[in-house]
Amino acid sequence: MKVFGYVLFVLFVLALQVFFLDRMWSGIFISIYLSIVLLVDIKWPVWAMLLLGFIVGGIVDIASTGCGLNAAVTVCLTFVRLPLIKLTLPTLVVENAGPIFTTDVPLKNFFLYLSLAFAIWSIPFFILESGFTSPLAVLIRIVVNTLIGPVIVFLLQLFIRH
Amino acid sequence: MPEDFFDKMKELLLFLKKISVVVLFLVLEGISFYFFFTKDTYMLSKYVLISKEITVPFDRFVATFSSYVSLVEKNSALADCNARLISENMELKRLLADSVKAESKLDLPVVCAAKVLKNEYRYENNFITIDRGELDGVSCGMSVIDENGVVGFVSNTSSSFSVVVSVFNKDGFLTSAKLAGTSNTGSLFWDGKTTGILQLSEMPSHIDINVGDTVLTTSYSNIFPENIPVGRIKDFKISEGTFYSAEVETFTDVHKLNYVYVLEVKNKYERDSLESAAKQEGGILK
Repeated sequence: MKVFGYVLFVLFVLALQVFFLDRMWSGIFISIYLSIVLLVDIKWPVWAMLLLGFIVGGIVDIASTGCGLNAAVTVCLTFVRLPLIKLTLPTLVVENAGPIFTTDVPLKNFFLYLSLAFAIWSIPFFILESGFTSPLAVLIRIVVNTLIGPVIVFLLQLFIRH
Repeated sequence: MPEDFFDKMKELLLFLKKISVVVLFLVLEGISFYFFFTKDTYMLSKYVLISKEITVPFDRFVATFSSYVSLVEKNSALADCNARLISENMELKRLLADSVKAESKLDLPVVCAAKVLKNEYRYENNFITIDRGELDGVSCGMSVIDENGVVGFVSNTSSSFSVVVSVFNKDGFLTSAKLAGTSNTGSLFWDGKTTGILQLSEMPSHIDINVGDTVLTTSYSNIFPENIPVGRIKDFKISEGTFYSAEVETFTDVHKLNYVYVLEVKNKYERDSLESAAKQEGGILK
């Protein structure tokens, strides 16, 4: 039942990303599909997380003709996810292991974790995507994604955690 | 096998296990960055193709939905556009009327163009109200036509409006008419039955009459100028032995009357006076 629910969540988030968020603002990219890898149970092994990041990023690449950039940066994020969790979340939460929802994680830590994760993802993504040109536009996109992304993921987890 | 070899193999396996995650990470990154940095056109076209396969049905749905939602807005814009065109058309018709007045090919003495304000066609005696009156030069007895043919004649006027007796007025309308290309005339009137069909009676039976022949006004009338189109013969029969009785389908569609032109008959007053004086005197030379 948990697996079925998670698959549904993945499909929902991917649809939301590909069919709505990719089309809503030209030039601004809110990568809410990162919630698929960021909210996952802490006890998932790293290799599984790497594969999940690769697949999810690859799907978004195919849907948005991203040519592998989403996959590359998302794999990178999944690789550093565990150290990031240990750095930002309370030890007790890490030891208990489970999905990262605000029911278990204090709000402040939750947003710190998400903001750092989005920043880690956004910086290489937007720099590589722009081809090292127009630094101001890149900076704006990084800031917007880092600020708005965690809020949307927060709302999403409120919606799906039950 | 020496025991030392197994120990080394065990260590190697442990090491590989330890770095397997890093290896997997590097492999996945390698694949992703390969696609990103090579960006060869063949691969890109494949990407686009797959991407379109996924997103096109959704895009089509969104486009259909958006166009449906924006129908109200488009409808409103079309209505505005229509109103503007109607206004322009009115102005052009007025200009055309002035132009016709100035140099008409038919030499029609157009007094003015007028908009139809009220148009009856359901009764036995129908009238039309137009937005031009005495101030515009309209007076009783003037004929009224549209671009297709005869509409009626002015019966009452005020300073700004006039009432027109429609050709579909059973008791009020009677004039003479002829077939195009002939000089034989008959009486044209409406029997009060079918809107759009006038009756042409007293046409001599020796003339050649066919369905589709054009009916025109004659010079006998002191209301309508000669040769104004009335309609086409729809049906005919011989009545009273020596006369044709025919149904005339009018060119003017009374249901779609919007603008009409008021015509002046030259020297009407002089002709009316002369004819009435002759009648009073009974035609006896004194």
